Amino acid sequence: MMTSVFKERVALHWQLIKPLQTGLLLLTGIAGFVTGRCPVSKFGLLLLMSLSLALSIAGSTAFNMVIDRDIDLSMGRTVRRPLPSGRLTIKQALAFAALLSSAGIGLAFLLLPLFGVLVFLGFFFDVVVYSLWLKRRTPWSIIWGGVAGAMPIISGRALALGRVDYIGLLLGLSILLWIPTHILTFSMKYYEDYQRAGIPTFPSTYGFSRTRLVIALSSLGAAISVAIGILALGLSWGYLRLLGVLAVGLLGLALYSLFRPSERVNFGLFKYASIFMLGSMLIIMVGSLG
Amino acid sequence: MRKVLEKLALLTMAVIASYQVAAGVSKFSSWAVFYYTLSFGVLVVAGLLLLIFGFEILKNPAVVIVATLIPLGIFMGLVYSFFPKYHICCLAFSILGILLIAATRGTGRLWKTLALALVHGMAGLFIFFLPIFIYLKGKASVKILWMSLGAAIIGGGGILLASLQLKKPLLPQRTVFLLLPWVLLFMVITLSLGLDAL
Repeated sequence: MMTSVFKERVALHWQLIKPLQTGLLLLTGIAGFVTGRCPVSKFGLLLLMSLSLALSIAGSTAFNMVIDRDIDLSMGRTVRRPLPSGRLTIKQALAFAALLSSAGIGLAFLLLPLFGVLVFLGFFFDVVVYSLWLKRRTPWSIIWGGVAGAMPIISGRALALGRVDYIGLLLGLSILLWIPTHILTFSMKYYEDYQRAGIPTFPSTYGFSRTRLVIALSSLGAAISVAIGILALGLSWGYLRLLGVLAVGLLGLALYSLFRPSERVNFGLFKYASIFMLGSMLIIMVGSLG
Repeated sequence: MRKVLEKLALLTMAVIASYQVAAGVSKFSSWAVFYYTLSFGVLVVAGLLLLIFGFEILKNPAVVIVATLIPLGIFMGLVYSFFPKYHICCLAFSILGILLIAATRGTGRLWKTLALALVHGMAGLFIFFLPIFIYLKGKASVKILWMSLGAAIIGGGGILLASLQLKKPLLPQRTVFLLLPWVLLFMVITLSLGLDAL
């Protein structure tokens, strides 16, 4: 009996941290660290960095779940989440979020003050600027969500090098430019839900056609900035070729969605964009280790 | 369980093709790298799109045109590496072939079939016979014959898919879709083993 209650508790808290999204952001942070070309000599540091980033990203995600609980309640897709369904109380979720965030950010400061500042900025932009302040006011809030999403890769590289450099910012820019593709395809798929919840999105403010154009442009921008990042890192041409192949797929789908729009292509683009980012990070990591 | 295995086969195919793009073809000279990248690049994206959209995507008319790049890229890579003096005329054949397939998309079944058979068939036959010829000339080890096997597999798969597209199926659609992930996987494996011999 105790075990099943405990298991259920763990499962509910696990849902609070959106493990896939947290995992992808953590991977960008690891990629940023690995580009510093020191993963073998500083393996312990890599582990601690991963722990710190995982805790702080998971913590900020849990805070967002608390902030967005009323939105979640009005959407069919999210109504069964732990908070809107009442399976966790706000107090429990807040305590969990605060514990994770403070442990993650605290550890980050212990590892390197600069890393701590960057991790804190990621938390601040995500929870305060994006979720609390702008998400319900303007569709442009995604820019700040993008800035928050760019922080793990910038901070990972900063921890490895001891400073923020232009390559780190470039890699961060690629995440920032990729995020509109990720978020806008999603907000198009769940357009009705966002309308019902009163959240301003690009499709509701600027229409679907313009949103698709923004998606195509942001896909192009993300691909270009990763490519420049790979060149700046001095990785071999093979990695650039592979990135080019993945980017052609992304742009092809974005353009197809622009000229032959359908819900199926739109959601396919959403999935492909995630694979593109995952692939880009793996390319950067393997290339940097090679 | 079958679906999981199919997805695993497609993912493995995409990973092997990715390796070829990133590292496997790097040893060749510039144009050959470009041609092989074209072939394996299409396979990478095809694997990912099949994973995302399923076999429904094969109904898209653009698939036939893009899929032509797979045999043509390998064919052009071999020509450039071993028979460079025929490079330009083979390139002209390839470009005209793609244009022909694209142009006949909007025409009747007969023209579509003829264009596909001509371009895919010729490229497939070249990929099958060129490695044998290259091996007999002593220009590569026996391992290059894997490429001929790859050509046979791609040819078989191509014929099955073309028969579906032309609505004269040689095998039931269900069986073709059941076989397709494995055809693609073994094709990539054999082509990669063949390239390794060069």
